[in-house]
Amino acid sequence: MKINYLSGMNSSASALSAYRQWMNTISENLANAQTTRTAEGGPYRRQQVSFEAVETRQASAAKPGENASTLAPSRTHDQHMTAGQSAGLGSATQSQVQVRISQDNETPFTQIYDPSHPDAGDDGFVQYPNVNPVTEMVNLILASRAYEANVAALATDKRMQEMALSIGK
Amino acid sequence: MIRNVLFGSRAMNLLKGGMDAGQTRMRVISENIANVTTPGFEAKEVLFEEQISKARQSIELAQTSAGHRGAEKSGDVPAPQVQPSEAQTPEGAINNVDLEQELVRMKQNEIHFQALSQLLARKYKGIQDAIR
Repeated sequence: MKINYLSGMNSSASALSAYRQWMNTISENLANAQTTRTAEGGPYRRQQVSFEAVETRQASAAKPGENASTLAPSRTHDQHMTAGQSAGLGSATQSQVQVRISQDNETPFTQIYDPSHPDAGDDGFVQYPNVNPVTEMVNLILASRAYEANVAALATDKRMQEMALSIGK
Repeated sequence: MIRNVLFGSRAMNLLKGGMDAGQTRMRVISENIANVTTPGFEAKEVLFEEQISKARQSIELAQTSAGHRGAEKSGDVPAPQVQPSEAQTPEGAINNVDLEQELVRMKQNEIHFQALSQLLARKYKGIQDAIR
């Protein structure tokens, strides 16, 4: 596949799905902010996301010898440039975002004294999830802003492709 | 031969090269924006305009045989170069992507690209009109 000009959209698309997953995770956390009983036992544990930049090799990157079909200058002197050099093909990788969802086992559960609660321990304390609604809301704003920025990038990319296509009109 | 006469002019090659650089820049900006929350991500930027002026000054290919492609004759336009951004990571930040800067650069790039594509379209239109 030699579609180079659309590869910027892949980055944006990976980011959109990553931020969508982040927002879903936040929703899940907020929905379960008071859940004291889970299938695994104990209160709900907060889910957290981490992002990672993944470098993928671009499909269009010419492998050695592959670009011979387009331009193959003969090198009769060792100072001659190779085709790859002259075309500046050094930037053949592409960054996409990958999201990882893990359980937050570091933040302690919130303890509230309520002996009448069905899930109260022997000491009368109920363990509530380690979800802090303020943190979640701040993250939600971050995620939604980042999502918007990527939508803008995608829209711009699309407009640019349309401009290039309109040359032929 | 006629292909070169019609489409091989230096101006046209520069326009094409500029649009190519615009596409590359858009791709790099997309990547930067996509990774705005990735810890330790290194922002990238595209060098092109600088490359052109450098190429004008410095590239001089020796032609020891008539079959060699000369630097000017081929109308070669340097390829856009992707390099790590020089922006420093601000204290307390997780990476050196500046979202506002990227968005502004994206808009500038789009307008520039629009100008180039319209100029190129007009060039082609001129050729077409001459043929008719």
